[in-house]
This record gives sequence, C-alpha cells and structure tokens, in this order.
Amino acid sequence: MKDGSFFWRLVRYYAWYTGGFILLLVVLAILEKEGLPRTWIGYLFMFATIVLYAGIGIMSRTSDVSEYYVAGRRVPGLFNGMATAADWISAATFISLAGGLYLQGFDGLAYIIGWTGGYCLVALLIAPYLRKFGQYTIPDFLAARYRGRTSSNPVRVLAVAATVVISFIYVVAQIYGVGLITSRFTGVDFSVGIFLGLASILVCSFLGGMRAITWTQVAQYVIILFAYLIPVIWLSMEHTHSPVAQVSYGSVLAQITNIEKKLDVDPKEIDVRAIFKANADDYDARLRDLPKSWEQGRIEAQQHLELLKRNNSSLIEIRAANRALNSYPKTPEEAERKWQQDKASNLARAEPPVPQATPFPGATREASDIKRNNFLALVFCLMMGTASLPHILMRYYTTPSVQESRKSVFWTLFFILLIYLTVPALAVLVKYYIYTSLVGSDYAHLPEWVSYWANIDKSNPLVSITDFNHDGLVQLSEITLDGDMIMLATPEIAGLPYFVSGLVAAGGLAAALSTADGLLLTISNALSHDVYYKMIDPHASTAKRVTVSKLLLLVVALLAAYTASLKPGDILSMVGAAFSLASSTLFPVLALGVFWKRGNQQGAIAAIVVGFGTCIYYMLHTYPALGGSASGQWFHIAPMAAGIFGVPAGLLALIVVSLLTPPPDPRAVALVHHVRTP
Amino acid sequence: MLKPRPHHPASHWHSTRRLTLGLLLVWFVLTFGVIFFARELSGIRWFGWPLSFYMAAQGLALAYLLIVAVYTWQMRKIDRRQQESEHNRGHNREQKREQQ
Repeated sequence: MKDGSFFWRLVRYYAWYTGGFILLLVVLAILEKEGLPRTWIGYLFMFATIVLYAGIGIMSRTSDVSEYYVAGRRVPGLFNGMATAADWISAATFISLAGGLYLQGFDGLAYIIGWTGGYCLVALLIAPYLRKFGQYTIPDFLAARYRGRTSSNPVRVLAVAATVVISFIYVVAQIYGVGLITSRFTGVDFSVGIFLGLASILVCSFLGGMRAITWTQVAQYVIILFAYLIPVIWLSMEHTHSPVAQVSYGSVLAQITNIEKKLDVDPKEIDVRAIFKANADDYDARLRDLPKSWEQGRIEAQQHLELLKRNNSSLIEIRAANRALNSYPKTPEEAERKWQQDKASNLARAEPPVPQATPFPGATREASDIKRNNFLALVFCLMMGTASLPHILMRYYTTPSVQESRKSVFWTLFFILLIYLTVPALAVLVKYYIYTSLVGSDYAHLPEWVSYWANIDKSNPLVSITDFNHDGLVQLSEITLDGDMIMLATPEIAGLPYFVSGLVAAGGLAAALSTADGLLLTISNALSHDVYYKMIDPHASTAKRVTVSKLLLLVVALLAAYTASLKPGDILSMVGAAFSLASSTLFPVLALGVFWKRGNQQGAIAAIVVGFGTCIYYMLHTYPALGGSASGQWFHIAPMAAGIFGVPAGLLALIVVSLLTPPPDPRAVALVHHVRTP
Repeated sequence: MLKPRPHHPASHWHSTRRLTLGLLLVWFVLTFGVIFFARELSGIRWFGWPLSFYMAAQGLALAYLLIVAVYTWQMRKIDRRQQESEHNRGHNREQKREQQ
C-alpha cells in the first residue's frame, strides 16, 4: 500500500514536470517567432535544463549511506528502468549512433543489436542475483562470492581496478561529448565547455549520490526522449506523411536504394571518383619514392610560396601556401604515415556510395565474409559488455525486491527501444534528404548549415563540400559528413525552426550528463566503499564514508575532465574499447559466479587477469594509434572487438584454474545458494 | 486432509535454470542466425523492408524485449509456486503439531 502511493506520487510529479517541459518548448517556439535571437534560445535551453538538474540534486541531498549508495532501495521498477535508460543512452548513442548508421549503412546496425541484446543477458544472468545479494557495489559481490579462506581482498582489489579503469575510459568519452555540445551551442571554448558541464554533473551527484542521480536521470530521460523523437516525427511527416517514423521509413529506404543504384552509374559521380583514384595513385607514387619525394615536396612547397610572394598574389593565397608549408610532414617517417592515411581516405572516396540496406557489401565473397565476422564479433563484445558494465548493473541494487529488479530490466529495455527503434529511421530520413535536396544542387548556393558546421572546427571540418570536378553542381562523392554532427545538425538540415536545434542540444547534453553522473558515482563508490571502508578503515562512521565518497568523486571528476580536455580520441572508439574491456574482465566472473558453484578465488583472479590481459594485448597489438599494426590481426578482427578473444580466455582461465585448486570456501557456496533462492 | 505436494529443495532452481537456458538458446539462435544469414535473407521483402535490414534494425531488438518479458512473467510464476509450497509445508507442520 505504502509502495503503491509512493509510485503514484512519483507518477504525478513527473507528469507535472513533463507538462512544464512542454510548456517551455511552446514558449520558446513562440519567442522564436517573435524574433528572439538564436543564441538566446541556445542559452535558455542549456541554462534551464542545468538549473533543473541542479535543483533536483539539491532537493535530494543526503548523507545517509543506503540513500547515498542505493537510493534507499525503494525505486519502483518502472522508474528505475527510466533512470537506467538515461544512464545507458550516452553521448555515443545520442550523438554518434545515427551518424554511424548513416555512414556505415547495414554495418552500423551492429550497435543496435549489441546494445539491446545485451539486456537479455543482464536480465537472465545477472541483475536479479545481484539484487538478491543486496550490497552496494559490483566488487562487493565478487569479493563475497570469491572469498578465500583467509581474505576476500585480492578479488576485491582486482574488481575495483577493473571497475575504475572501464568506467574512467567511458566517462572521459562522455565528458568529451559534453564539451562538444556546450562549445557548439553556446560558443564557449571546448575546455571551458567541459568544465561548465562538469559543474552541473557535480552539483547533482556530489550532494545526493544515487538518490539524486536516480531522480535526475528520470527527468533527463524525458528530455532525451523529446529531443530525439520530435525532429524524427517532423521529418517523417514531411517525407512519408505519417508521424510514426519507426513504421513508415521502409518506403523511404526503398527509394534510397533506387537512388543509390542510379548514383553508382552516374557519369559525373564516376568523374569525381576518378579524381580521387588519381589522387590516391599520386600518393602511392610518392610513397614508393620516399625519402626523395619528401625532400622534393618540401622544396616545391617553399618555391610555390616564394613565387606567390614575388608575384604579389592575394593575401588569402599566400596564407594558404604558408599553412600548407607549415603542415608539411617534418620527417620522411611522418610523411609516410600521413600519406598512407591520405591515400587510404582518397581510395575510400573513390568507391561508390555504401549501400544503406545491403548486408556486408564487399568486392569478393571473402571480403564480405570478413565484414560479417567483424559484425558478429562486435555484436558479441557489445552484448557481453552491456552485461558487465558496473554503472548499469549497480542500478539494479536500487529496486525494492528481486522481482522488481526483473521488471526493471524489462522497463529499461522498453525505454531504450523507444529511442533505438527510431535511430535507423532518423539515419534513413536524413540520408534521403541529402540525396534528394543536396546532391545535384547548385554549388554556389549551398544551404546555410553547411557553412555553419564547416566553420566550427576549421582544421578538421565536420562538413566539407568541394567542387572537385568544377561543374558547379554538388555530387554525392564531393560531400563529406562527420558522423558526430548528423544528429545534432538534423533540425538544420531539414530546415526546422531553431528551437528544435536547441532541444536536440539539450537532449544530447542530458544523455552525456546522465551517463557521466552514473559513471562517476560508480568509480567513487568503488573507491570509497570497497577500498576505504572494506579494506582501509572498517570502523569508519557512516558520515565519514559518505564524506570520503564525495571527496573522491570530486577528484575523479576533475581528473576525467582534464583527460577529456586533451581530446584523446573519438567518442565511438573510446566507448567501444570500454565495452571490450568490461566484457573480457568482468563477464566471466559475474556470470559463472552465479551459475557455477565450483568457481573459487584463484580461478576468479586468473579470469580477471587473463581476460584483461588478452583484451589489452590484442588492442595494443592491432590498433595503429597505440603502436600496433593491422597485420597482427587474428582472423581479421578489428581491435575494437578484442573482447571476442578476451571473454573466452577469461572463462577458460576461471574453469581451468578453479578445477586445479581446492574447492571454494563453504561461505561462498552458501552465498551462491542464497542468491539462487527467491 | 491437505493434498501432499511433492517438494524438492532444488525444484525452484531447477525450473529457473531450465527457463534461463531455453531463453538463452532462443536469444543465441535468433541473433547469430539472422546475422550469419543476413545476405541470404536480404532478398526477402518484409512490409517494404529487406528482411535482414528490418531484423537488424528493429526486429531483433523487439524480440529481445519479448524474451525479457517472458522471463519476468515466467519467473514470477516460478517464485509464486515456490512460496505456495513453502506456505503449505508450514501449514502441514502446524497441523501435525496440533494432532500430537
């Protein structure tokens, strides 16, 4: 009865909140009509939403241990599902996923399958058992399950290390996303944007821990949902005359396939592709001539600059030549690396467009098979990773009962699907828009958004359209779009009013902030609860534990923001690495911990070390940016899917080492029996 | 006299395990079957989509939701059966005590 009234009170609060948010949208739409400048609309969205999150954080401030760590274990399944969905939908999903589907076609769907199918594993193998165990963190569970005769600390230390490393990589990617959005929509510098976002993350999680984060995340989910669905519904109404894009975009897909077939044989497109092919051949010739070609190229660039200066050419030309000389490779080695990249990108652009709906397109059956295997490997890693990400699993501690935690996984997947079923529709609709209204249009009259997005980052433009064959028309092969801008720019591409752009930015910010919040709390809880309370000072008072947790949160957050400000890599690859690492390190111990009684401490240590080691080794060995090379790949599997080797290695290590060593402690076996009973 | 219910201590875990295994099998066959044969399936049309595209973009995700729903619903039944049998055992013991 009490639980029931609590549930309905929550429903009432969030209904009012949603109503208020719709009102804000309407007011801003009217203000825009009345002539409010665009920048103000951007500011208002950012400001209003951040104040809102901070407000919820302040209202839910707490110093009670159970409230701080697990929100008092009374979050109803439906609301925990919403909060977990917000926790789950990260900057990678919101900003990059639609772009990934746009650029990669069918291959991008691996993310959709992996990130939803993983919840089957969460529901069936992990969440209910963790809730039955009923402590505070993931290392807690592993330490109790794999306790030794004398101490449970070795497994705990390893689990904490894994949790911290995985969550840290992931949180850096989120804060990077926060920086991107705030800097683009408010015009502040990237690093200032990062720290602005950080401030709002901290107000929320710092004061109220899990309790504040849960109620903020529910609020953030509502914003994410509106921000994703409104532009898609709008586009869908225009192109298919039906608001339900998820159902109606099939007809658009068929049209896209037809256009692609025409573009494949269009003489002008073939022209442009031939230009790229020639460029690639040029780079190839230069690469073969190294180091002589490098020397020659430098001299030519210098001569070109001097010639321009002598002829009193325009300042713009001289500047361009100067820039070219400055960015010319400093050594033959650098030249080789750079030209290899340029050759590859030119070769890629010399190919006909990636067909949106064809699975694993490849020139030969073998190339196509490699794509299929990579698709399978990526799906595997993303699924196993989903089932072992600590910040997601931790959320299932907050429900009132085991049954409620099962229901909660269902609601999580339900709320995730509301967004995920829309993502492919968005990618297809935007692609249709580009194919029909940009391709073939007049080069001299490009739409406004092109120059706007091209100017945000001049050295590495997010959009570039260059008239390579000088025919005055835009060809598809002349357009390059960055995957990270497609969702954020959708409202502008489709010519929607600016308040929709502001809404999308607010949604992206909510997605990045909610995930960053959950991750930071996971890191600080693992450190304060598992390291400080369980290992350093078991007699610490509850107030002291929460204070330590808050302090650690601050330190970790600053460290993560600093790392993100160094721009370590793009969002999707950082997130992919985190998934592979999580799956290799934690999945074997978590799943077999419940389903295999014989697993013992030595086995768990071996599993974590071997899984982590295999995954890291493969990434270092095959990822060019980390000093590896693609020639070291096993079965042509990309480094991002390293978990496909890590997970089996970890499982095998757990089984073999456990069987070679004495059976587990009776208390561990009793724990297994305990979590298995309802 | 109450009907004696057969009770095995492992029965709850036994049915849980069977359900889990069955649903995992469905999950596995569906996922890897669709991906492995995606090229062959793309010739089939499904309400305007090529079947493999539809399955990868939306169909599989909906199937996963169904799997989780079936699991939640069935587990509630299994849990309830267990509670009832425990309740009955308690009831039987009380009756015996009264008879003595």
